[in-house]
Amino acid sequence: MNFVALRMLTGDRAKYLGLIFAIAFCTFLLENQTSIFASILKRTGSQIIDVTDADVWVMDRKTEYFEQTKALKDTDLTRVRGVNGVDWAVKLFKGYPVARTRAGKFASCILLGLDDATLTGAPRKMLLGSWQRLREPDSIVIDNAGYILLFPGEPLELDRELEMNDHRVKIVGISDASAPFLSNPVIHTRYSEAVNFVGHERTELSYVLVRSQPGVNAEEVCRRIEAQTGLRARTTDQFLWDCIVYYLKNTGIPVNFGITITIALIVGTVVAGQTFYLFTLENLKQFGALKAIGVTNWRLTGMVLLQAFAVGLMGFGLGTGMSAAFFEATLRNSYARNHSDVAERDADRRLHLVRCHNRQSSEYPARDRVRGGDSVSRVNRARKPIHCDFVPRGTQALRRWHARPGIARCRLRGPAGGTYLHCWAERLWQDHALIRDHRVAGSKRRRGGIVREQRWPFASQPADPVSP
Amino acid sequence: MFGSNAGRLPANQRILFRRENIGFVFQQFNLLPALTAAENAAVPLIAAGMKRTEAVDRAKALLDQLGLNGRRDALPATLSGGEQQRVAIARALVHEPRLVVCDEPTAALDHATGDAVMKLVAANAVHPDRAAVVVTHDSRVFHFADVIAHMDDGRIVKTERNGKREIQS
Repeated sequence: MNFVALRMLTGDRAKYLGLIFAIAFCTFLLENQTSIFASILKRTGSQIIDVTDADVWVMDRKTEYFEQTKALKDTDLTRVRGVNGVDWAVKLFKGYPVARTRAGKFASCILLGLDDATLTGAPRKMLLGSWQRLREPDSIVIDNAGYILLFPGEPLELDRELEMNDHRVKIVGISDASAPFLSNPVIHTRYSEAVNFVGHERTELSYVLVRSQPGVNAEEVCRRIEAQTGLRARTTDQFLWDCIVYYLKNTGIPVNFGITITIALIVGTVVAGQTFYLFTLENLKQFGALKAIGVTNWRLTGMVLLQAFAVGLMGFGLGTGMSAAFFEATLRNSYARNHSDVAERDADRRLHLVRCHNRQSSEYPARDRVRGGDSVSRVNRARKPIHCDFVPRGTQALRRWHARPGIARCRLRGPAGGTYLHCWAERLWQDHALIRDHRVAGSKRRRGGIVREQRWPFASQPADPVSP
Repeated sequence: MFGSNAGRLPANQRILFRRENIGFVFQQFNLLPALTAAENAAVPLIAAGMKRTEAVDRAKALLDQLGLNGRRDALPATLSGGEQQRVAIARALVHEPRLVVCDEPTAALDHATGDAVMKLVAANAVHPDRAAVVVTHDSRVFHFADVIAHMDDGRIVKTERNGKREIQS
């Protein structure tokens, strides 16, 4: 009887689609709001998550969340290092200087001063440049969103200058750091530089980052540090949740989102429930006929449940798809909006990366050739694909980039040699790419899904330039 | 009825009893609008657990017998009243019940169509091992009956056989 139930459901197209769209839009609204809510809460601890080297944070006893710091004494660092179970401990400075560009645009920033010797806590996801260059004097790494805020509409470019507390600082890297709660630019520098960029105070140490010894539980290390030093010590996860709980308790975020989500849930349930109830009510005569024919009550109940499950599944699937499309579209838009044409070489001149999008296409002549250092590329600034050539080292020979806005196609030789794969790169990083789809040369079938996120070493000299 | 006291059977047993022994023809046809004529006629067989394709094939054969061979895959909305009632009769007969109950089968039909439907009922529903009970206010179809029982306020007040005077008052 399942087919009878499904045919009854789909027989009236208008009601059927109405049911599906009612559920889909409610799902979309719920998922949209809950995703934004979760994302906002995650932002409260994004600087904590970004530090992957250490597993314990040590802070003042009364610190409740990341932004709330009271400086520790420099001697606290050595006290923490003396605790049993601590592998190593380094200092971390956090301040809020104002950074200003030559054009006069300024913004209050989150400045993180990393341990001079180890650069523990440096951003690992770099879009341009390298965090190792932080060892240069007056150097900073700024996050992508911060760069765009300070240099709106300008291409990502290294070695640009900012002024902080009468100090001229040089951007040596652009990171893909997680967005902070208040959307300030996130700047990383060395500890000794950071205190100058903010201005000296009597005590300056914001946090001590600790790595627990192998085999020793981080929570146990926290307990020992607290017992021995009187300071507050939290594991990365605990500190992240401290921030989330603080914002949940002390801001209107949960109430506002809670109201929206609750209303969406109630309205969604009522609308979908009412529509389905009316649908069943209108079919009551048919169900009566089926019962007279000899269909059991359980079977009839099963038919109604199957109908509800089918519309629920389809509505939920469509709503989830809409949510995914929404976030994908907004992310893509922000990516396209935020990334202008870039042709850059990294510090050691081993990499050449070309990224394009069409926003500024009219500003540049087509197939403008950019030559610099020891690498060559042809940058197509018009609304046409970019062609540029890389000669990588190793067996995986990346022969050619064919980049489009937000997507890049490349041809590479497989490790076995001889086989060419056409790949569609979702994102390009400094030295690796995220490949979403790939196809073997000669085959028309695209194989979806993320197939590899691999670091491709790019060599310095092009071997056989391919004419665009 | 058929060796069982149908009125005292538990609800589930009663449904199974109905499914096996009784076929219904309703006044308003009560066909499922999303199913084709053949699928509608096959519903009792599918409800009894028969495979859908086999059930539909049997229903199609019966529809052919009832003169609907060209309309087997038509949806009820595209059928005339007489055709719909013939599909309903096919649905009542497809599982070979021992009793066919028709509730005002001609009430929604004009005279000629009603007459044709009653001829079909008389020709196909009545077998040596099967009876058809027709509940009707339509005196024009009385002559099809072997036995006529007159009811008033839910009680049989008189019974006639072949138009002759009453058997029982």
